[in-house]
Parts: sequence; structure tokens; C-alpha cells
Amino acid sequence: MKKDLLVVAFILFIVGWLIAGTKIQSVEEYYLTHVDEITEDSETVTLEIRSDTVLDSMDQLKAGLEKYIEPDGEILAKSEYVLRSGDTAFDLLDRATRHHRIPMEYQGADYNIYNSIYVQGINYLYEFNCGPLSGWMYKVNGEFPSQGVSQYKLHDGDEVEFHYTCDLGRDLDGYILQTKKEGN
Amino acid sequence: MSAFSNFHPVLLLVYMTVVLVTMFSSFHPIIVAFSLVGGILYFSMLHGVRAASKDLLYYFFVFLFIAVAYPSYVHNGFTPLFFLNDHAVTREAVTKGLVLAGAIVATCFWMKSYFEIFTTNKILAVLTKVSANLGILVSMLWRFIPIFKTKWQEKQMAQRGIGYYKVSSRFVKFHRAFALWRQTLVQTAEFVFVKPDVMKARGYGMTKARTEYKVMRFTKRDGVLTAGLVLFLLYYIGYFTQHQTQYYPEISEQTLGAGHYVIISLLMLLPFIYEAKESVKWRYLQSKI
Amino acid sequence: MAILTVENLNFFYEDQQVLRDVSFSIMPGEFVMLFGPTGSGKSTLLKMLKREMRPTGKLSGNVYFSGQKLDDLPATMTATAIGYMMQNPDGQIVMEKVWQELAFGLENMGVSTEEMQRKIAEVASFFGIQNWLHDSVSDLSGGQKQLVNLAAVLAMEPDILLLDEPTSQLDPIAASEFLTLLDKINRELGMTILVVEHRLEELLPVCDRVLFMENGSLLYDSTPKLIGHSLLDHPMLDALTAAMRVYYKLGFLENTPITVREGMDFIRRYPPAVPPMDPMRKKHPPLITVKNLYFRYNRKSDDLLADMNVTIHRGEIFTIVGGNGVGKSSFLKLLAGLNKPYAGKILIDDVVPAKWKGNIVLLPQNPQALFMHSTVNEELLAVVQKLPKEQRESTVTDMMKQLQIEQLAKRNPFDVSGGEQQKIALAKLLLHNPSILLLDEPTKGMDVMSKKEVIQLIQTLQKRNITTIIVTHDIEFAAEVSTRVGMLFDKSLLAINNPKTFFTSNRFYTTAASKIARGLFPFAITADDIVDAVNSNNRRN
Repeated sequence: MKKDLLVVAFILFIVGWLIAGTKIQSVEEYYLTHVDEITEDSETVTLEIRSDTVLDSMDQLKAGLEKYIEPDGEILAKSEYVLRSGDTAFDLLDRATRHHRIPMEYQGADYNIYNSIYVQGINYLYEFNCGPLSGWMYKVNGEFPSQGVSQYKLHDGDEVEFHYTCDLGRDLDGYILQTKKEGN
Repeated sequence: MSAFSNFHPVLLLVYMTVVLVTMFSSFHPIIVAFSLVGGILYFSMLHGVRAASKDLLYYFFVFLFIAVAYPSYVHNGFTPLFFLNDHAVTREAVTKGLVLAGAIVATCFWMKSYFEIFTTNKILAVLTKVSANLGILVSMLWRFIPIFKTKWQEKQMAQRGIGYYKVSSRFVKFHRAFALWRQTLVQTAEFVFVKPDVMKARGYGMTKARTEYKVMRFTKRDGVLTAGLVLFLLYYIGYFTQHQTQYYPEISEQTLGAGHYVIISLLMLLPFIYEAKESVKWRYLQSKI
Repeated sequence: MAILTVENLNFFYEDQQVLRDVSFSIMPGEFVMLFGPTGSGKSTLLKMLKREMRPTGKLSGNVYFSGQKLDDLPATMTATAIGYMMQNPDGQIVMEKVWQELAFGLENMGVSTEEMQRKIAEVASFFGIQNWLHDSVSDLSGGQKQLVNLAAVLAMEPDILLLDEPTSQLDPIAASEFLTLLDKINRELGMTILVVEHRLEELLPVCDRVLFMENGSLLYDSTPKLIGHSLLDHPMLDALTAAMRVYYKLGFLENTPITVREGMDFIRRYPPAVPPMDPMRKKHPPLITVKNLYFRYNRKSDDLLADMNVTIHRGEIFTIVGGNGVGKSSFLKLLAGLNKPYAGKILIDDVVPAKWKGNIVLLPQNPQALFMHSTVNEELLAVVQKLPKEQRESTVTDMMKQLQIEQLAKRNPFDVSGGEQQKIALAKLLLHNPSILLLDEPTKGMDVMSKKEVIQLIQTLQKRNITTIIVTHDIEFAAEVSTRVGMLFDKSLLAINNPKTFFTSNRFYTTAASKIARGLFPFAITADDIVDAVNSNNRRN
């Protein structure tokens, strides 16, 4: 009796889920991303993705991931991209990783309390894969912004870097303790 | 009555642990499949194919649900199959979803069979073995729920019978229901737990050497089997913590020797085989008469 | 040598003297019954004999067990040698499973597993409870629970058994079975028994000695045949068996008949006669109409009530008798609007119970379910919150006086005896000013005097045109109180008639007095009816 109801609920759920605007793309379709040509008068920003810290903490790295770690720590070399109006740090990351076919997974802004997209993993390297304090962080012009990655609006000439940390950012250059910032 | 359930409860508990721990620590697709098949076969043996088929249908949907839901939330993996709302659905996540769904459904079937054979009697016997006082406490706790239920129903009826809830305000109604609920709770607790005099009247706490009444004997056969299971568990836990199947970014399927597969499949199918053997024996004995 | 000797026992609880100078002794193998009105200190006396159960208070005097002072004996000895059982079946159950409960005491004493198994096997077989050994205690009926309790006590092989109204929460059939078993234990095992009871009809024929208590004093220490001599002018005379009451009320003393059979032998010396009938009461207007009523608990369960039809009149005292689980309580709940009919109708003044303007109140089978406060006074004050402040206290006090429970005002309603709880619950119901009173087993656990009070109360209410519908197992009570009686059997009400016709047409399911008078005095259903019949006959001749 109860079980029959559950089965019905399950089927309704599946149907609803399929109807409610699900977008299915093939792999080729998804990676077919247009990156604007850089011209004389286009505003540009740069992006770099690195995972140097892992190299110092290989003992903490989850088994099986070793072969996906770049020996020089560079996942995406620093390169220039055209800034579209309204671009956030996340838009840039999304476009660039798609263009270079680097797998990237994120949690949508609706799913966390910060109201910002949260980057979970880039190039098979996920949060918590290198110890309990590991994850992805980003820098703009050498500083760690306090906004979320999808809230930070980029400006002409900004230099964006994504870094993997194994220790809540303390192992990265230019990291200022959160406590100091908040003035405690 | 199932033949397998005649084993000592400690043995049954150990068996259950071994099956589930082996399955989850390996997370190996083939081992999970063995466990799923073993769990379903034993369940069908206990309940008859007809009753089991109903549960099978239901759990098939549970399986489907988990298998679909998992890869639509986890996008890790080396081989994207397609993109769903801009997230990759990967072969690795789909595989892991299937294995996870299999493991969960298998756990459900094992649990269902166990609750059938591992009755409260057996649980209490095991607990009493661990500590006499723990056994008494849990036994008293066990009484709590049915007594609370009857008391609550009784009180609801009685109070409705004198118009306790005949008030216009919903708030007051709720407030009254809560007061009654709290009072029932306190009363049941007092009723079940506060019995120092009746317990003392029957000699509780007067001698240090409290003995225990055993309803089930731990036979030599139980001992040998338990020891075997524990050895099995220790060996494979050691093995699988080193060789757990990894799913991300690529599936690192651990290929075990054929011998391991045979041993593990025998373990998972043990209750079914034993039950089948006993039923064949029974029929044979019957036909001879 | 006496197994138990009590010397000048006095007990004060706060400033109240509960026991006054009680002295008696019991010989091994004796079956002793202790009775007396509610609140006479019987339970307290019994608790004094079981050291572990003694309440706090000031105690003086001595209790000797087998010649030694009870206080000097080691705890392990008193725990096993003196077995104690209380009223409420659930009250002394500690464990979840029957086997655990049976083993509990033995485990405490450190008995070895082999010996424990033997003792449990023995006791379980003697009581015939071996098949429930692995059941949950909560699945058992009240009677079965008391059997388990008794078995658990006996497994410890006590020398004496103390029982405090062990059957007061049981239906008559279970109660009768339990008492038969007590008799068997006494006769076959030579077990010494001291039991506090209200059910004298079953116990008087089998016990050796009778103790009578009132106001904390042990007034009489007598035998079943002689106890009546001391009670001739006492209201508790009515507690004795029907045969004894008829005998004494007709002025005889020697050679008392006790059982129904002895009563029949005695009464045959009189010629047949018809006792005067009550004048027919005038017909009241109908109040409750039940038409083609069907009821079941679940959609898939069997009908509990089917095609039931009955009309109950305003100001009636309608009693429903019948066995266990035939749907008597469910019918009361239907009348109260707590259950809904599956088909058919219940109409009160042409509306359904829930919409009727008058107050319908229901006394549940377990009166404890009505209590929510820690003293009787608060319990009753909570009902009259709508009255102006200055009237509240006096209303409650009046009600307590009417039911003679003033002395309980400050007690916790959960701690008083079963009969007293019934009275408190009744008081609470009456404070609601009901127009229809539904009573589920109102006399459970009550002594004869309390029953008399309840009968009077209900009859007073009847004069105020309050309709009472009673469900009971207590045939004697039904015979005395009702204007009409019906038997609920096989889903419907049968044989609805006035009590005289109803009970005299029954052969088995009838009062003891009716059995005694059978064939001699038609329409005599109480001891008083028989006495009246004999006396009027004498006058005529």
C-alpha cells in the first residue's frame, strides 16, 4: 500500500524532472565554446590555474590521483582572454576550462548559504582530495577577494589565478589570515 | 522457522557484519553483485517467491532512483558521456551510482531478512551477555514504546470523552495536546523505569554474583563458524583497505584471483545455500516416510 | 511454629495513623484472606510484611518470620522467602520478555544457569505458560500478565505468598481462573498464602481463615463459617457470598452455607413463592436511537458490531453485559462520538452524538487515563475553571463529599487504590454536568460499600433525568443498578429486558442469588429479593 504510493511518487518525480527544463548536451556540443578573438581595443583579463601545493603534500593525496597531477603544478598556463561585459571570475573560469576541455565541477549558487557558485574540482582534483583542509581558492591581482567567485565582477587588466590549497590557503603566497581581515 | 536462524545470535550478528563490511570496504562491482544476489535469494527463501517479488519490484525502483540520482549530482570522472544542465554525466559516476544502488538495495534485503530472524529475544540475549545491567536497561527501554503508545491512545480517548479538546482556539487545542503528551511521557517513564521497590522485592542488587539465564546455547559449531567468519573479516578488511575499488577520476578495478571470488560468493550465498540444503533434506525425509 | 507473626504493629504516615496495634500470626500451609472496606489499611499491612516494599513512615511493633525478627534477617533471605504481588499487573513487571521476567529474580540471587532453567521449566509447566515464554509481556492480557507475575514470584520458591488484590484489574473469568490457581498452589504445594481480596464469592469457599480490617485495626480473626457472626450489623456483611447473606438475613447463625450449592440446599426448606415485583416504571421518552449500526476498527477487519438496533430512553440506567472483546467498550465510544459507525446511525434527539447540545461524558476502562494532575484536589479543580473563583472550591468539596473521597484530596490520584481511582474519575466526570453518563466498568476494584455508594449515586442522577449507560462484567452490580439490561453477543445486543427477567431467564450468566433461588423464587436476583420472598411468604401463611 505505502510502497505502491512510493513507486507512483517516484515515477511522477522522474517525469517532472524531465519536463522541468532539463538541458541535455553531447560532449562535443558542450565543449564547443566560442572564445572571442583578441583585438586592439578589446578589454582583456588573464587566467592561470595551478596546483603547486599538492606537490609538497603528495603523501596526503588521495590514492589514484597521482597521474593527474601536473609535475610543474600548472593546469592552465597564464593566458589572456577577452573580457565580456558583466563577466565574473566564475564566467571566465567556465569559459576557459570549456575551451581547453579541462573538466570542472561546481556547486550552483542556490545550493549554499554564500549565494555564490562554489568550485568543487578542476581537472579531477576535488576539495578534500589532499587532506581535510584542501580545496580551490582564487586570487585577483595577487589578493584573495572576500566575495564569492560568481559575485566578483572583473575589470580590464585583472589577473585571475585559481590555486589548489592543502591547508585552507595558508600554504599559498599572499594569504592574509582571515582573522586579521575581520579585525579581531 | 528458518534453519539459518537457528544459529546462535552472536554468530548471526557476526555474519551480518562480515557481509556488509566486506561489501562496503571493497565496493567492488562483482562483490556488490554477489551480495545483492545473495540477499535477494535468502529473502525470497524466507518469504516465498510470491511475497518477495512484490518487494523486488519496489526495490527495483529504489535501485533505479539511486542509480539515476547519483550521477546527476556527482560529475567527477574522466569520461563524460553527455552534459546535463552544463554538468558532466560521466561513465565513472554512472558506474559508481549503479554499484552504490546495488549496495544499498542489498543492505535493505539483508536487513529485512535479519529483522525477520534476529528477533528481540535474540538481541536481548546478546546484550545480556555483554552486560547484565545493560540487558535489563534495554529490556526496560523496549517496554517503553508499546506502553507509551497504549497509554497515549487511552489518554487521548479518555480526554476526548470528557471534552478536553472542545475548545474553539486551535492554539489552545494544540497546547492541551502537548500538555497531555508531556504528561504521558513522564508517566510512562516513571512507570517503566522507577521500580526500585519491586526490583528490590525480587532481590535486585542484593548479591554481586548476578547470574544470567540463557535461552540459547553457543555450541561448538557456532564457535567454529564465528571464528572462521572473524578471520575472514580480518583478512579481507586488511586486503580491501589497501585495494578498495576507486571510481574517480578513472575506475581502478581491482581484479581479484578467481579463488577470492569463489570464497566471497560462497559467503554471500551461505544462508541461501544452507536454507536450500535444509529444505531439500526435509523433503527427502518426508518422502521416505 | 508460626511462619509469620505480627505483634502490635503501628504505622504512621505523616500524622495519619494507618495501622493500629495489629497482631496476628499465620501457620505454615494456611490460606488466609484479608478483607475490609477500602482505605482500611490492608495494603499497608501487607507491605509491612515485605521489607523491601515498606513505605516511609513511623513504624513500631514487630514482625517475626519463622521465629526471627524480619528486620534481622539477611536481605537475600527476605527477598526469596517472602513472595509479594501487587494489584496492577504492569506495576511489577520489569522486563520485556516473559522468560526474562521469570528469570529476573533468580538471576538476582545468583542461581546457576542449570538450576535456573530447571526452576523456570518447572514453574512454566505448572502454570501452563511455557508457550508464551518468548513472547513480549506487552502482548499478554491482564490475566496472563498476573499469571506471569505469580510464576515469577513462585520461581524463587518463597515460603509465603503475599498478594494485594491480585484480581482487581481483571475481568471475572480471568479473576476466577487466577483464584482457582491460588487454591491449587495452596492445596497441591502447601504454599502459605495471605491474600487481600474483594472477591469473596470465590475465595470464601476455599480459604482457611479470614481477617477483617477497618480503620487500621484488625477487628476480627475468624474463619469463613464464623466471620459472618461478627459482621451481622456491619455494612460489609454484603461483601459475603449470596448464600451467606440470605442465611444471616433470615436470622440463622449456625452451620453457615457458603457456596451456591450449599445455599440451594438451605433454601429448599422454604416453599416456592413469587417475590413482590417493582411497580412498572412509567415509560420515558426515547433519547438515543441506534439503527442498523455497523462498526469495525479497520476497513479490512471483521465487523465488531453488526446490524445493531436499540432505543435508550431519557433517564434510563441501561446496562450492557457480555464477554471480553465483544465490542462493549467500542459501543460506548460510538455513543460518545469517539468512534464513527461504519454504517447505520446513532441519533441522540435526532442528531449525531458530536452535534448534540448536552454533555456526554465517558468513564474509560482505565480511570487513570483521565488524571493529569498530582493531587486529587487539583484534578477536580481543573474541571471547574469556568465557574466564578469563590464557587470552585466549594463545588469540588461538595462533589468529594458526595463520593466520600474528601480524605484523598491531597493524595496523588495515581497512588490510591483502584476502587478509589474509579471514584475520583467519577467525581471528575460529574463536575462536567453530564446529561448522558457512559461508564465503562465503573466498579472495577471497588469493595461492596463503594459499589453501594455508586449505585445510590447513579440512582440519584436518574432522578435528575440523567441517562446512564453502563458496560460491566459485574453481574451483581448490573442486577442492582439497572432499569434494563442487554447482552452484547456476536455483534449485536440480545435479550434486552428488565434485570429481573433478564437474569432469571439466564442459567449460567446470572447472579449467585438467582442461581440459589432458581425454580423456587422466580424473579429473585439479589439476596435481598430472596429474603423478601421468604418473609412475604411467611407473612401470608
